[in-house]
Amino acid sequence: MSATTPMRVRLRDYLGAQLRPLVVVLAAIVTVTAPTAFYVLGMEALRVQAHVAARQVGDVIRSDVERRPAMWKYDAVKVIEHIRSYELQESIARVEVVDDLDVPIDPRSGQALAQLDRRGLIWQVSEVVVNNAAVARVWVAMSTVELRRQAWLLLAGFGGLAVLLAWLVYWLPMRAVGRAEDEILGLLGRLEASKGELAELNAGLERLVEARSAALSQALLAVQEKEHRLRELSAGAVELQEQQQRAIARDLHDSAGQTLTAIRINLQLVGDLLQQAAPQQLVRVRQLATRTTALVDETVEEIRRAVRSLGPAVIEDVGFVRALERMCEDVEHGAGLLVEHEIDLGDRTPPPAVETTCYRVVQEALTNVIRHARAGQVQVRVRAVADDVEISVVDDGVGIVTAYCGSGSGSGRGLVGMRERVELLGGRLDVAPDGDGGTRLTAIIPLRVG
Amino acid sequence: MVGSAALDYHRLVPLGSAARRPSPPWPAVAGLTVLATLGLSLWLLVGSASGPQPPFLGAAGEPHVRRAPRADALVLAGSGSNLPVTRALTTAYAERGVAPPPVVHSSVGSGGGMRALLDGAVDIAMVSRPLSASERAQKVTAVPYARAPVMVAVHASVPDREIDRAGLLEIFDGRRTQWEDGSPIVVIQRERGDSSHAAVAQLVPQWAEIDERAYVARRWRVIYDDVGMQDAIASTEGSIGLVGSGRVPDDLPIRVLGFEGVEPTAAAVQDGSYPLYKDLAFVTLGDPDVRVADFYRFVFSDAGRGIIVDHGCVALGEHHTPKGLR
Repeated sequence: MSATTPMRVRLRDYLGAQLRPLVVVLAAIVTVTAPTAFYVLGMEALRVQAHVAARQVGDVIRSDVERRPAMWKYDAVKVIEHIRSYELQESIARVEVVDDLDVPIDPRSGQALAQLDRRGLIWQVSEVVVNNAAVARVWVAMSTVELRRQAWLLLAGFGGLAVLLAWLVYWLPMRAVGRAEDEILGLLGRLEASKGELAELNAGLERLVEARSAALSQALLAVQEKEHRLRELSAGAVELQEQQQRAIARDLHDSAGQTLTAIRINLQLVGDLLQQAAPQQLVRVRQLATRTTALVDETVEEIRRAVRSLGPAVIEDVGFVRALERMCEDVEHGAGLLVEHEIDLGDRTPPPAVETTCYRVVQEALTNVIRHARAGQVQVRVRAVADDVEISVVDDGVGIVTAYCGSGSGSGRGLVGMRERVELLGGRLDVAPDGDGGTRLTAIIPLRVG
Repeated sequence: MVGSAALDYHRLVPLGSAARRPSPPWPAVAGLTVLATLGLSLWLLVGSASGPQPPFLGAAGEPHVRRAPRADALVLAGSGSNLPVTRALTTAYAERGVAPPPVVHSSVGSGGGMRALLDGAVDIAMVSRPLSASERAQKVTAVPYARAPVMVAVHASVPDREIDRAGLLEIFDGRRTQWEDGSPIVVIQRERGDSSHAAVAQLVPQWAEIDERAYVARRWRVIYDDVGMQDAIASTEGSIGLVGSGRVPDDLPIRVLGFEGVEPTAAAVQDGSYPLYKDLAFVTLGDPDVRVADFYRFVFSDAGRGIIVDHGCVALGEHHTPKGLR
């Protein structure tokens, strides 16, 4: 794996491989070029000086030859000696004047030339021409010793300079690249370390997420469990409440109602019987019986209202489907409203709480339509869809605001109550505008409570 | 996963292989460049050292001697000190009916005269100094005929009238730079080996060293013959120099100083009171031939001796005369 492999960027190796030939070339050029140029140009300068000196001496000799054609050469030694001693530069190693047979004019030249160190001398010659005849030649030798010494010094100096330059040219980039390489390696190392840390962090994060997910799942399960239990409890409570209300209603209907009916009948019989009694007492008893009968009627009516409020006993009497149909028929007959209804639960039998809630939802919806919607037609549909009971009440009235949230103080509470009952059973209730301008109420209630 | 996304740093910086194997042309180019530089430098160095070589370097022996064609006339050449008196002698000799008359060349110095003699260019060399060992080795015959005073001559503007050997040394050594009136002293020197300077050197031991030191240091102007010396002194105010021709021309602004209280006259030289002098001699190859001997007889005749004396010199006596001429 790359993380375990020792990292080497090799910038220094690469740059060093490229720079070393360059440094050698640079050192060679710097070392050789300037001293060579200096030596070559110096040699040329010496050659020119020698030639000029030879011409100058030749001019002197020519003048003497022209003045004394026969004896010039015997006096020329003095001239030569004078030139050697006074007129020439120190770099001129030798001036020699020879006749037309190349014999030196100065008789002492043989010994001097024998002792002359001929190494490092460059010679130049100039002819002395008189009357188109070469009568003498002037040879001038320049010493290159000093030039060579200076060239060697220059070579040493430029060699040192070349070494310095080469060192700088090699060392400066290598140092810079070395530092860059160190920084790159440091960055790579830190990147590698960061990668490990990131992996550890990622693993820890994954563990944390897993733990959090597990805890969240458990919490969700707990919440779902609690919600289920709450729904069961709510449904049970509703069911229990419904059963109690139905029992109370049935008891009131069966016992108190029957009893009060019997009392009323008895009170009517008492009144009929008292028609033959004394007029004064009879009138009074009759008035009392009549008043009691009225009280009984009021009581019966109050019991009926109580029974209706406690629970639709009609479901107990005629069944859930028929109770809904009868309610629709009663509304159609009583309110003058066209009610289309479709009640189809198939073979499904909802629990009593669901039946009661469905009954109340339809009852409240129709009541709102009658009271607020100013509708001419309403459609009621109750059917089993999968595991739910789906209720829809659609009218062609004035719309949702007026129908369900409108002016009546009880309508808003009725809608809230319907929603609460539906949600207690795990269902939901929506009220929305219908496409044709009316209102659509939709409620979905699970068939199985809890 | 982090591991799967890890970077391959070696792919990011693929320099390792390049570092191990630099591109082949570059070192080769560098090597060729170095070789070309060195080769060019070597070629330039060798080329710059080449040039013509003198032919005489390979023949270091005795200089070639070429005998000049002999002329009928007697030919003389040599020291300028000899010229005035010798020309007077040859003129007088020619007036005795010698034909063709002798020819006396202008000054070539004692050495030049000897070389001309050895070359056969002249019959007689005129010398005003002792012969060197190499010259004596040439089997020459020297005949001294006059003794000329070596005079300390100055420009006519110089106020001084006398000089002694200490003063002469101070002036030529540069230690004394002014004449008595404060005017500057201008020294005019003769070349190495001049006979007048040699005469002073014989008298004053320190002279040779001072003279050579001044010559090497190029301290003074150097003149190469007696006539030139006279002209230089005459044309330079405050100048001083040595003249060895016996007398100075009357028509030049030159004055002769007394030396240690003695005027440079022939009489003073002859009686030994004037110590600066030199002998003038004729030199021939071998013994003098008939023509030369005839001329010598005239020189050592009374007429000739008179001419010598007339030129401020001492006519040397009979003991200087070659035996064959006595």
